[in-house]
Amino acid sequence: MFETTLEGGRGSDASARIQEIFHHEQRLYRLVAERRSFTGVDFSDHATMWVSFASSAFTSCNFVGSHLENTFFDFARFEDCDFGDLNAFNVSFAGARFNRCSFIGATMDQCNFNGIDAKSCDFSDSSLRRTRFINARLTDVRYVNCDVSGAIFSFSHREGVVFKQSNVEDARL
Amino acid sequence: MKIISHHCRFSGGNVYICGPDDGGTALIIDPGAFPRELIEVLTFHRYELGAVVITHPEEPMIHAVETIARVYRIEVFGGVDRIGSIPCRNITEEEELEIAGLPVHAIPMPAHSRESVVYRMEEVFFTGPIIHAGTLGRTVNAYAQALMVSTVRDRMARFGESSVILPGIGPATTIRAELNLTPFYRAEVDDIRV
Repeated sequence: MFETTLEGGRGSDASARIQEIFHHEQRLYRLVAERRSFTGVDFSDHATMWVSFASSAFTSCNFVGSHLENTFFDFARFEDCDFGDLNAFNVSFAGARFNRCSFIGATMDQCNFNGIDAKSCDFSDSSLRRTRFINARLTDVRYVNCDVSGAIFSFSHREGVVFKQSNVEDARL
Repeated sequence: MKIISHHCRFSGGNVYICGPDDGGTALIIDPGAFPRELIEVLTFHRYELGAVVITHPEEPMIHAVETIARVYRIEVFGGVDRIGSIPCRNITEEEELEIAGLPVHAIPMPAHSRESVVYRMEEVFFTGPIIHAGTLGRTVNAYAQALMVSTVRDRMARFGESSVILPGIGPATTIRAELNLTPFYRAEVDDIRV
């Protein structure tokens, strides 16, 4: 499913290359871009499908309004990224680290946040149906007015986590 | 090859359709129902079903397969001889198959149940209820659970840790994520170390 690999070596800054692709294409498809770094990349209103960004670092990237499907961010690192109004389905962020990231208004049904380490993040007004946070370490994370039906938070370590106006009775905490 | 992931609101599980990029004969994995929306997906992608692939037969699936067999001329693959009234190619050992024109690697998972089979196409595993993100499917006892963990390590991880798992329930994951984050696998490592 992953046909091509993004140019550049392990740890290289691939920000310019992605921006260049977005100049011509609306979506990334069947691409491996693992162990790269991305700073200030604007993914907004673009789509990804069958893309692996595993173990990559994202700093101040903008995913607002993006459409992600079958995209893999396993063990990636995100700092000051905006996922507002993101539309994601079947996306895996397993083992990723999030620092000061916003997911406000995002639709992230059936996504995999197992084993994440999230600090100062906001999932308010988002849809997290059937999304999993098993074994996650959540510090100062807000879930206000979220749809968490079928979501699983089992074995997660939660400190300063706010679940307000969210249907937690339909989730497994 | 194209893989279409579909969450079926009738069965509550995931259904996958795999076929050529430009339409033609496709296979469907674990249909828990065969509602109109699935027919619309098939039509949109210009697919005609040639096969049904079952990871673990369950009651709703039997009805779905019987319905599909009334609409399409299909072959059925799984870990049993029949799915309801429909003959099924019984997969009893690990083998390479060609299903609906696509190469499929089948791996029986007797630790889950005698009828359970995991399928691999390209770098994607379809695991049904046998393995899903952050946990394992139900097993009858601790021995079966340990056997399942070692089967995942021996028979699935050898294809590379970046292989994707598309389960019948819940979100996608990868072999790497499961081996490193799911306590079942880590516990086994700890046991060995002790």
